[in-house]
Amino acid sequence: VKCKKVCRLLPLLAGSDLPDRKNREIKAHLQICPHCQREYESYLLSFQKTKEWLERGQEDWQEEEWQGLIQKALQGEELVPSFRPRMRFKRAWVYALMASAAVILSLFILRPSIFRDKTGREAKEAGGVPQQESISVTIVSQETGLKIVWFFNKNFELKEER
Amino acid sequence: MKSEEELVEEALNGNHASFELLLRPYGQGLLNMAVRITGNTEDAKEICQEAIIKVYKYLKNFRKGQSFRNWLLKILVNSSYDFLRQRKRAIKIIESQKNAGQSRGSAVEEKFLQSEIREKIQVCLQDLTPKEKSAFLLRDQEGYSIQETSEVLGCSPGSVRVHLSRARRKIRRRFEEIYENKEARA
Repeated sequence: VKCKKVCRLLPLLAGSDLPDRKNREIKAHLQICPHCQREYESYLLSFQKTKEWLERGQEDWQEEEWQGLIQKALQGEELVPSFRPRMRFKRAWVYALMASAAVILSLFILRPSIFRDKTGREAKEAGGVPQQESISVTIVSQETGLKIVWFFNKNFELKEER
Repeated sequence: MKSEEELVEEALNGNHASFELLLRPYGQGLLNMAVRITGNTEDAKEICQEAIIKVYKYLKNFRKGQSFRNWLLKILVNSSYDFLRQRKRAIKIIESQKNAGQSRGSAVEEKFLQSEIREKIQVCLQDLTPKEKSAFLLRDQEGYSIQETSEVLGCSPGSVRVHLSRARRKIRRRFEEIYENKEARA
């Protein structure tokens, strides 16, 4: 085991929070490495001392304070009917929703090759023939030479007359 | 002596004394946990109040067979997080606690000793994130196992080990600073 890995695990070893196998490995390393042994002793000292401080620095309620606390809880709230949400909120759902939204958006914004032809242009109608947007009809009078042009849209509604 | 499940049942039936009996063994633990997380006794009491109100309100949701202590601490830890998040004053609290500890130290000898210890604890805990603090306090103060700690914090045992390891590393650094200062003063 390398010193770097041992040093990483020393805080857990000081509190006996390592699995047995790792515990043995690290302790075997400490036998042969004075630097890691010193580090371990330092962790052990801080661990024991803080534990002692935590035990000695305990605070407690005064009886009236405690009773007041309980009374407030009892008065403040009525027991509510059991409520357990059927589905618990999970962060993974948000990520999944965001990922699917991103995929859909990319389909519309980036327009991948499924929407384009081989030259990179957008595919028009099936068969490749572009649909005609407007139709014009020209009538020319033989006597006067007057020319009338009617423009129709694709639904054959009159758009313009010249 | 009645079991916790019986007390829960009675409290749900409107027996106020049973509710008090149910919580009494954990009163001190709740207060100390909240004090360490917030670094301030007044705020800690406020958090305990909120947690106990929630306990009473949602007692019906407590599942039989579940550990009441774990459930209680989970509510307390979440209330503490909410409190710190809402007021956004985690750093301020620690600083004010430091100052309060310094000013309180001039009373009676025992009180001085208590406040000195309290101050030391706060100095040690000041760099810790709420998760690291909770993991450390549950494991090293309350004596919870890694598995139990992970249940209370709602994360995996691996995450608890990571939080715990970071917490102990930061505490050791602060601890060394305290001792270096002491030696320098001597």
